[in-house]
Amino acid sequence: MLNRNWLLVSIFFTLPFISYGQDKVGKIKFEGFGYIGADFRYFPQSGAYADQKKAYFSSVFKPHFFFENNTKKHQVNFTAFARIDQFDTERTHWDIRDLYWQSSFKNWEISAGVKTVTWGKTESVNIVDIINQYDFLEGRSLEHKLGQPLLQLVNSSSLFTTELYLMTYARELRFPGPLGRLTPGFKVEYTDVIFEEKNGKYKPDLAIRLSKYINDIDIAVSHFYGTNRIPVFTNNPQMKLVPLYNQINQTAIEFQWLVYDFAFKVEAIHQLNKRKNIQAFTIGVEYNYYLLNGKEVKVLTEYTYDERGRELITGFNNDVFLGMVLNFNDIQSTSLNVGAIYDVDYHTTILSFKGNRRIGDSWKLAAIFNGILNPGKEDFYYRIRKDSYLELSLLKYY
Amino acid sequence: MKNTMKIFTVFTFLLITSFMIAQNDNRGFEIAQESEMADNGWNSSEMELMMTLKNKSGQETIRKLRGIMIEVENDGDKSLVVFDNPTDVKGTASLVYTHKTGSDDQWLYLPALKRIKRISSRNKSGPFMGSEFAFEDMASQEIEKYEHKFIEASKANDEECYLVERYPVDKKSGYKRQQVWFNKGNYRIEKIDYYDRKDQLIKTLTYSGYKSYKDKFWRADKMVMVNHRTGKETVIEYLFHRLDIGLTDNDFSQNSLKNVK
Repeated sequence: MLNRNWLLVSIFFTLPFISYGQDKVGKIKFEGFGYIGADFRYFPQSGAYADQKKAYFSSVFKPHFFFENNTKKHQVNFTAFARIDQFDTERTHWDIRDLYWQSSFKNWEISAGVKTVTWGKTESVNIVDIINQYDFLEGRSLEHKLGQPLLQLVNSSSLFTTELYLMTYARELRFPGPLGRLTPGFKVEYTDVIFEEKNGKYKPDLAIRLSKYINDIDIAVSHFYGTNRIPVFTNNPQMKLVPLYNQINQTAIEFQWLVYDFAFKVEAIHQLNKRKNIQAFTIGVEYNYYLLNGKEVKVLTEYTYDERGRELITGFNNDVFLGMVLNFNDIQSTSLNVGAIYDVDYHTTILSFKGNRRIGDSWKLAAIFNGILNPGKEDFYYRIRKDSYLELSLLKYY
Repeated sequence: MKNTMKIFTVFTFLLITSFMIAQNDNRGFEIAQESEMADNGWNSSEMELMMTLKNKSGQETIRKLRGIMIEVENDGDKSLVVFDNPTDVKGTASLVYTHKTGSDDQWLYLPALKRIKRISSRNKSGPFMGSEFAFEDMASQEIEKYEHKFIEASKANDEECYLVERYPVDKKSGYKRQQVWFNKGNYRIEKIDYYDRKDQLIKTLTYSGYKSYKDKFWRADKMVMVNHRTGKETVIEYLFHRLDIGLTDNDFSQNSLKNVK
C-alpha cells in the first residue's frame, strides 16, 4: 500500500480548499461526500488452510472531496478508501483511489495525480482494462482497483476522443493474508518482487486510447507499453512464490453495437512480452427488456478465451458467463443480480447473487452470495475452493 | 440537368407535404410547430431541480438533479443530467443526443465503476428514477416524434388554449396518444393528458409558475405529474433556470460526463 506520507500530502492538499469553499465567492464549489459501512462475511466451510476463520466483520470508509474553481476550468478530486478487517491484518488496508488536479481548456483536458480509469465494454471481465491494479483485498469481482499515479491528456473532437497517459509507480497486486479467506494459500514474497526493468515500479508506462462512436456502434483502440499489472508467479531456488512483473506491449480493441434491444460486445488484446505472445478476447451479447410495470430485465452471456491459461490469476482463461439483472426501478432502486461463470477447461463453476436496496434516503443494504463449485485442481480457484461465502453489507452514504 | 433537379425537388417537396397532410392534421401540426418556433434560440441552458415523489399515503421522497442543455441546428437537443441525491448515486450522469428521426443516443456514467456505458434509448416507457415521469416524458419533445391533430379550443389552467392530440411515431412509446393544451397567446404547454396503449387515461401533467426568460422563453417553475391509476404523484420544482449561457458542444462530449460532479 501507499506509504503514510500520501495521506498527509492529501490532507495538506485539501485543507486550503476547505476554507476557500466557505467563502462562497462566485461559484466555487467544494463538496465532501462518501460512505461508511459495516460488512459481515460468513464462510460455511472451514478454510483450506490453518488459522482461517468462518466469520469476519469488517468496516469500510470511502470519502470523496471535490473542488471546482469559479470558472469551472480547474478541479481537484480526492477519493480515499479504507477497510479494517476483524482478523486479517493484510486485508486491513487503505488506499488513495483518486487525488488529482484536472484542468480543461476548450476540447482539451489534463489530469495530474492519482486516478482510477476504466476501459472496456463487457461485463464479466474487462481484459483491455490496464491502467490500474486490481484491489484483490476487496474481493475477486475485479471491480475494485488501486489508484494509479499518472499524467493524462484527453482531447475530444468530433472525429474521436484521444487519451494519452504517462504513468509511473506501478502498483503491486496484494492478496488477503493467512488469517483471511479468499487467499491463495501460498506465502507471497512481496519483498522479493521482481520487475523486469531495473527501475522497477518507477519505470514509466505509456498508453494511448482512441475512441469513437458511429451511430449505434462504439469502438476504441488502445496501446499500452510498460509494466504489466497482472504478475506471474515464479518459484525461486528457495521455493518461495515471488511475483514477477513483465514489461509488455499490449494492443487492444473494444467494440459495442446496439441492435434493437441487443448489445453485441467484443474486447480483444494482443500482448507481447519477453517470454511469449498472448492473445485473448471476450465476446458477449446483452438483451434488455422492460416489463409493463417499468421493471427492467437484462440478460447477458459472455465468453472469454485467454492464452495465458492457468497462470492467469483473474481466472478468466476459458470461461462462459451467464447473467441476469433485474432492476425494479422503484424509489429504493432495488436490484437483483444473478450470475454463473463456468470454466470450460477446469469445470469450475462460480455462482454469484447480489441483492441491493436503498433504505430511507441514505442507507444501502446488500446481500451477496458467492459460491465456488467443483473447482478443478489445475484452476486457481482450487486454492480458494472452500471459500464460498455469504455477505451482508450496510453502507451509510453522506 | 438543372431542370431535372428542380423538377425532382418540387416533386419531392409535393410528396413530402402531401404525406405530412395525410399523416398530420394541418392545424394541429401548425400549432405544435408554432410552439417549437416560439422556443427557438435559447442556445444553451442550465438548471437545477428538485423532484418530490409522493405515494398514495402522502409519504415524500426527494431527489435532486442538475442539468445542462444545448440546441442543435437541424437536430434534437443535447442534454446532460447529473444526480446529486440520493447520495449513493451522486455523480451518476446521463448524456442524451436527441434526434428528430430515429432513436436517440444515450450514455450513462457510473461513478462507482468510473465507467461510461452506451445504453439503448429504445426502452423509453420505463420510469425515470422511480418517479411518475417516464424517460420519454423527460426527453426533448421534438415535433417529428409525433403526428398531430387539432381537437378544439379549450381552457386549461384558466388560460385559453388549443387542444391538440399527438400520436407518438415510435412503436416503443408507452402511449397511444397524448392530449396537449397549448396556450393560445404564447404557445407554451399548460397541460398534458397521457393515454396508455389501451387508450386509458393514466397520467396528467400540469405546468405552473411560468416565467419569461430573456423576455421570450417561457419556463414553468413547477410540473406536477399525477398517476390516475396508482394515485402516486411526482412534483418537479426548478431551483433555478438560466438560458443562453454560452455552452458549447465540448460541454456535451462523452468525456464531459465524468467531470460534472
